[in-house]
Amino acid sequence: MKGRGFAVLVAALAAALLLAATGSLMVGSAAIPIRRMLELLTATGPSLERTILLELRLPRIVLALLVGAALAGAGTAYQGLFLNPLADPFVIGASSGAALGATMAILLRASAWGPAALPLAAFCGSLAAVGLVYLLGSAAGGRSSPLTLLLAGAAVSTIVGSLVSLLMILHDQSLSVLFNWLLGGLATTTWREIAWGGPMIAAGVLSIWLLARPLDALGLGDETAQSLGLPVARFRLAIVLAASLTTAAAVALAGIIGFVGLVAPHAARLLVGGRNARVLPVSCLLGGLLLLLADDAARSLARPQEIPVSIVTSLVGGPFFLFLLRRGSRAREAR
Amino acid sequence: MPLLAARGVACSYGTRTVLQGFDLIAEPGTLTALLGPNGAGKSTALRALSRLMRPDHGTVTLDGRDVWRLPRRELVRNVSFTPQLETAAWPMTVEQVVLLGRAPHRGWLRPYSREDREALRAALRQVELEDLGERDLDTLSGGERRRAMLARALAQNAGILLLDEPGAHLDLRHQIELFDLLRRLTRDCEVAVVLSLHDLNLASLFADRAVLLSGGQTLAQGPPGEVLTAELIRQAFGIAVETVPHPRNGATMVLPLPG
Repeated sequence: MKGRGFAVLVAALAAALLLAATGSLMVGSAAIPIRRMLELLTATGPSLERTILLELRLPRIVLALLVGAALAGAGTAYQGLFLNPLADPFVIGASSGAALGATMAILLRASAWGPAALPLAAFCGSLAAVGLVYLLGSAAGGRSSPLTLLLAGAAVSTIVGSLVSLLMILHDQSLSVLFNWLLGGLATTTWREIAWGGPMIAAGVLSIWLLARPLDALGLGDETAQSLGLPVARFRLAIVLAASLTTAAAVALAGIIGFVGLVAPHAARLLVGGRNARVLPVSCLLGGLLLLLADDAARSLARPQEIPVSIVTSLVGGPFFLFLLRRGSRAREAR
Repeated sequence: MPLLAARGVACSYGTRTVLQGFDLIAEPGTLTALLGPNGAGKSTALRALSRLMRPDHGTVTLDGRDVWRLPRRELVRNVSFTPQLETAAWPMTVEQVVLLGRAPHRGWLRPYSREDREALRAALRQVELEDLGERDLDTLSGGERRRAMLARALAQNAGILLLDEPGAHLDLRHQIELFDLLRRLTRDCEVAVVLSLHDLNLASLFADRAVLLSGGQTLAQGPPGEVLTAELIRQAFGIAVETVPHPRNGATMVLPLPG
């Protein structure tokens, strides 16, 4: 794809995002048509509708876009790092690791120490989990086989998930708070959370983008990357740090939301090929769009009740994952 | 032109020694072939030369300086390595893969410059892949893919080209074309090429020097005609052969004798 085609694609996706965001502003228990919306935005003085719009719906939309982009960006990085199309923050345990860190922070009332405590704890948890999966999944070094990686990811996720459950049961007075958060909550967002989460995600995704060309080289194998002068071990560490930072921010903001980080990079690669400097922005845009639409579905399908958004993404992404797994195993048999 | 040299290099995987007392000088304008049976240490020697593997003993030097003490960037500007088999984990176009060869010059962050584009075009022209630049690597034939990998090494613009079995999996025509190209590069651009290969006759026809390895030891080193004797081949491969001069150019041809 030539440069112009890429620019058109990015512009089209951005337009779709804007359109979806505007649409999402109108949807909700109180429907606000677009003309009324424009009146509200230009009006002065407090009104209930204005508050709904600016303090409830808008931050929620921004959060969905941010978290979706973060998960998609981290997914792109993890897939490139593990040379494995099935890797994503959820599958390889980064999300559950972050959840464990965040759970501990919540239980220890760490938010009293400052707004950075929760995301920082999530970051440490996610780093530890990915490190463990990496060690287990590529013990022989080099390319991890999809199966080993999945098994290692599943094992670590299960262990870490049990720890989270254990902590929740031991502190049952906080159970419902934790449970809601873990299931992926975009509902309880405030601008305050976005104020720390947004920059964290931006920093993470930007770091991944700066590592895009080395990620391309790594796609050709360790030896080739090394023979082109890439310090492979140091680079791997950098990408794990960047992707885990991004994942941790997403999890700290919205709990565990699966499969966005799996689906979005795949769709992006289908659209723009394998060059990571292009895959990443497209993947992030798609991830944001995906999560926004999933959230719209989550809050309108079973009205007046809300479904946790992670259930929607899993219902859509889970089958896609199985499809990839099946296609992968068939491709291996054919070889 | 830079000079890459190995002196008394020994390498091992764990406790298993796979290369011992390996000496080599990659001279500009020379095509050197590493020969020997499977497991003789050919690939290991190339890995040691390209700093992918640290020797237990001995040194590899570039212009007299130990490659392990050189800045990484400086080494890869002068020495390129092309592995035997390369698969892309993601769909990548030929151009994209060849441009990665510019990383030693451009770094990993700065956008590719016009100079890089020119190096890309020149490299694709040399391997005759100009029309396939936008194709996905996966869609190429074995020979085209080989040439794409070679183009990346050329775009790297290094004085020393190390190639691990560049002729593997190619049909006869593509093998001959590839070696013609390598010899042309050696002569015209004064590069030093060191490659491993299995076909003794190709080595005889195209290489200036041959190194015969067996069990990690160097059995002989010199012009192919001196290295490819029936006795040395028997020692290395454990088979009986007869050698005859090529009717056109007198190069030593190795004819196996059925048991």
